[in-house]
Amino acid sequence: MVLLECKNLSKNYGKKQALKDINFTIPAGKIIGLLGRNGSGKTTLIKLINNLLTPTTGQILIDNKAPGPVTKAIISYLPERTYLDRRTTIKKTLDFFQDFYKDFNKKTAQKLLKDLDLDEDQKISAMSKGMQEKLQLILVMSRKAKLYILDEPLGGVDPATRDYILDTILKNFNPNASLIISTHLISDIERILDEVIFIDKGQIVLQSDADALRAKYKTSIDAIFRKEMKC
Amino acid sequence: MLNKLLKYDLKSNFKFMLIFYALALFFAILTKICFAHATNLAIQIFAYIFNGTTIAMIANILINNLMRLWVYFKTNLYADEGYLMHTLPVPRKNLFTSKFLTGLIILITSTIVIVATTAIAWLTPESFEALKNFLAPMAEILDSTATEIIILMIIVVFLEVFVMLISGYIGIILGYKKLSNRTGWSILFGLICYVVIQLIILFGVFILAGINPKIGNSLFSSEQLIPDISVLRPIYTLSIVLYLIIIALSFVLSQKWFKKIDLD
Amino acid sequence: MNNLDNSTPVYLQIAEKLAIKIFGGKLEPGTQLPTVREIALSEWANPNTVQKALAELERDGLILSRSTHGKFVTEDVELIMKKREEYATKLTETYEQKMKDVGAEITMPKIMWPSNLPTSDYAGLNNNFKSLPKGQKKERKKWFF
Repeated sequence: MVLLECKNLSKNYGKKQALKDINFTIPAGKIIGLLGRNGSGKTTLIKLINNLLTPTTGQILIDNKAPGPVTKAIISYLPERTYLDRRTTIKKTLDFFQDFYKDFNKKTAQKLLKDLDLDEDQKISAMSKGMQEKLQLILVMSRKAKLYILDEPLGGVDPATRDYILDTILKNFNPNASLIISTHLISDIERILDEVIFIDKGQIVLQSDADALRAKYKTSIDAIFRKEMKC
Repeated sequence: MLNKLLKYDLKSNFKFMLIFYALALFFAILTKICFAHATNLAIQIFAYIFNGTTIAMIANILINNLMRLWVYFKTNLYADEGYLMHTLPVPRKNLFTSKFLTGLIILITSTIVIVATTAIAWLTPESFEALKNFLAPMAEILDSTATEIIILMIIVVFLEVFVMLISGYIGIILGYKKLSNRTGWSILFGLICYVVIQLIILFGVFILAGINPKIGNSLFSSEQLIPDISVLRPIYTLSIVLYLIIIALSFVLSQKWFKKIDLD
Repeated sequence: MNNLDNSTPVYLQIAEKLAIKIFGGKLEPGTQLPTVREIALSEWANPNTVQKALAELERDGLILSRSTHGKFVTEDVELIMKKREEYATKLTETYEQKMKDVGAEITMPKIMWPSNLPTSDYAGLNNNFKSLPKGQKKERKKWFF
């Protein structure tokens, strides 16, 4: 079953073409790595899927529907920035998610917060950026969504945090859902990927099963990526 | 889902405004008490200090209203928080409607608080009589009462401020359609929008003047040194009707323009 | 997880790991395997990859699916011993080849097996952690809940 489909998708910023004629589909029940260097168009693509940008041309279908309230209800999205209301507390943020997302499980979130020793009465503005990012990951993974989209969840984190993040993802990921992880740090996550999509200069260079690639090139995805993206 | 959004928007805004409201009312009461018991110089000095502070607090509410609501609109919908708001499973037009209604409710509350503050601080039987006497000739000509005139004036000022607020919203919506220097464009578009609305109202008065020669004479001829006050009533009525039409129109247009966004 | 190998298909790595546990008796014939999720977490892999690994072992006959009860190690000891022989032969061949590559001449060793399959102190991977030292056990358990 196709969960996400992009047809002839392009996005221009003025004269600059950020995405050029993107075509791909993503089935349900897979973990997909969206791999590309900085500025390759990963975030633009993700923002288009999340309806934060308007496509210049082309079409996006999520579960056969154009981006809108219905698709937002089934996508759980972690942006590459901190996006919570800094004036409020963790507790109120949980309530906010519960208010708006029917699939949000507050108990799961509270359990995960406990592991981090985070006090629910703490103000968001009093938390470090790293802690805020962990909180956001918890919120996103506490939803029972059909499609999870994590934009650079490992950007600049220490190895212990990276392990925590991957562990949280694997533990809370619903096997019937699909998960898209965008990153340029491939070696850290390649093991958990079913499929990889290489994106470069706004175009999709390659989409393949991860193990099939390893079998074909007899090396890691990271090494393949470095070789392919050399030019 | 609109009520949830509205609840959330109102909470975030009232949290701050309540402090300003409380301060204004507090100083109004102090002013009142000090003036009522101004038996010696020290209390009199305090009375004048509190008097000034109350005026400052009213100005504070007026300015904060608009600035707060504009900044909130921008940060909540176009900055980092926009990533949260725009990915909520709600129709995008509801995000705007909620901000629009929040603005309306905050402005109404502020108007009530300002009127209450003014009344507490300065309204005495004597001052009320003086005001009535001052407005009496006007009321007589307009075949109205002093109270009615005051209420009418408050309504027009309220609508004027509300139109300013909406101009700002439209400015931000249009400004953020640009690729760079979005804040600059927002301010420019907001100003343009405000000027256009003022021109429309002026144009409306011109047309009215064309239809009603009495208004034309009083406004644009130099023969009468003292303008005929009786024309104020149709002008007021026209402005209020025009304001309401403009506000409704801006609401529909902003919702339409707000549909397509490009977040940073 | 840095010492994990990413240059060969992950599902084959997991299948091999489980097979070695079966050959070495850590997973005795007839015992139940941990759930897909548990294996996924301990191997840092995604559930689909683990499924694929289990499918691979199932095709070899080393594990069997009993509907609703999960997956079990086969009770066919003959088969396990046969597969073990194949695996060991493959290992020695690889060794021989590598030695040849560096120019060494060796006589291949004769593989000796005990008369029976070795048995494990543990009753399978599920309960593996019960026998670990206390501190270690606590840390490992975290991955599972």
